[in-house]
Amino acid sequence: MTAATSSPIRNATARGLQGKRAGIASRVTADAIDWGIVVLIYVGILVCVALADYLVGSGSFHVPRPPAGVTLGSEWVIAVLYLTAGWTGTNRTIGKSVMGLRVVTNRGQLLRPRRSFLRALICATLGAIALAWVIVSRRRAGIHDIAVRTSVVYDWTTAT
Amino acid sequence: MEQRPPHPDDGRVPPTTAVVPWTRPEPPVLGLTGFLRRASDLGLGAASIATTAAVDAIERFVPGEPADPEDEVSAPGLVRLVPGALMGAGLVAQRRMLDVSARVERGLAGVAASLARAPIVGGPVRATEGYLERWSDAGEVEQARNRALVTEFVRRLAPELATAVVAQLDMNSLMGQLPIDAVVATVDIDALLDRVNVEGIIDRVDVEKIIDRVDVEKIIDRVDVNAIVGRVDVQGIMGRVDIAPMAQEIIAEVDIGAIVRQSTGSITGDAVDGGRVTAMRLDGFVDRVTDRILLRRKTRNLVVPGYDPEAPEEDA
Repeated sequence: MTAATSSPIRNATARGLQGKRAGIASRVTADAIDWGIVVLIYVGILVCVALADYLVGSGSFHVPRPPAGVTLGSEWVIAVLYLTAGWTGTNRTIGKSVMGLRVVTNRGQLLRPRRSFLRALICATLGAIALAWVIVSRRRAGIHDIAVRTSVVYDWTTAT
Repeated sequence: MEQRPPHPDDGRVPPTTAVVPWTRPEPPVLGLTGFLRRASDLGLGAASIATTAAVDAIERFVPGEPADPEDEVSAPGLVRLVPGALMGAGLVAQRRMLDVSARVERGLAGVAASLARAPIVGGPVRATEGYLERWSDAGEVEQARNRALVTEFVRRLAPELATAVVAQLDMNSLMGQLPIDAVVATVDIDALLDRVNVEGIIDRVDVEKIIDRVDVEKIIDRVDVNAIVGRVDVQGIMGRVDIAPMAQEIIAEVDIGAIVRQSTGSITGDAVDGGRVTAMRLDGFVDRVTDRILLRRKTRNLVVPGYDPEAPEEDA
């Protein structure tokens, strides 16, 4: 991967922390954004199903309300796919891109699809529990970071 | 019918500008009377000039009584009448003398003709007449040659004389004395310009050659642009300019959407950066609180070895 042009960082604190491991506040904010996007995708799917049913089915527009288990399962699948795609492609999801974070290996390398998929499985399954370990970890690592040997760093560059 | 009083101009022919060509008078037939006429004319002319000069000299050096200024018709002086009187008397005497000479000449001619026809003296008389006639012809030829020489001399002398006269003239003083303004006032400039073929003159002018000889840079250096701009009525010009169409054209050329996107993106980027920095500081705050609760004194390891934000490497 090649370096791309980077935007100048005017804040001295942010400039000094580039490449360092990110803390709980930044990561929770990024994950909250990602979780909101997963929910939006799920709602969008439901709306699309209702629209399809309206066009070819009963003739009345009605957004389905699946059971909680179906919703959780669907959102889990969506989250795994979304996170895997984000970490494999640009090593950052939309939430992490907004917060200027990037997921790398402990040796500072970009993630491959298998490691991204495993990390996504753990994140989607454990959720906030896995992330809470960041608070007490000396390396600001969550359970999923420890499991797949990854780190989340500050990276405000636009490089992919 | 009303009688008009007589006027001095009645019956007069109005003056005209017609020119009567001068013709050289035929010289009289050379004879005793002709010779006497020429000799007397010459003598009378010389006497008249001499008399007039003498009278001028006498009046200049021996001035008479001043003329009465109130006398409208000032009578000439006694001395001034002398040249005219002498000339008049001389002319009358010349005419009488020439009349006598003509009668004597005619008499002599008749006698000579009779003698020429006489049987004895006719031969010598005709011989004498032929002899005199030859000398007369020779004299006339000599006179004609002298007249030709004089004419040629005058023809050559005139330009030399004119050049010498012009060289002696003070042209500046002469020009100062000329009523140039009055002359110019009488000139019809418009009529003069109407007779000028301006197009023909312009066609003969090589404008490119003239422009090549003009030092434009030097002219520009001498131009006071600020003074020119200061004389321009900018407000008046702006008042005459229809700004609305110009503004619409400018707006059509400017991509306002791109400007809005750039400015909006900059504002959004600043807001996002602010949120990121706040989260960073909150990260540090949580770490310090946690470490204090857990009684940690060793700082956290935040460095990811081998990671370069500018050029992250692919996972092996």
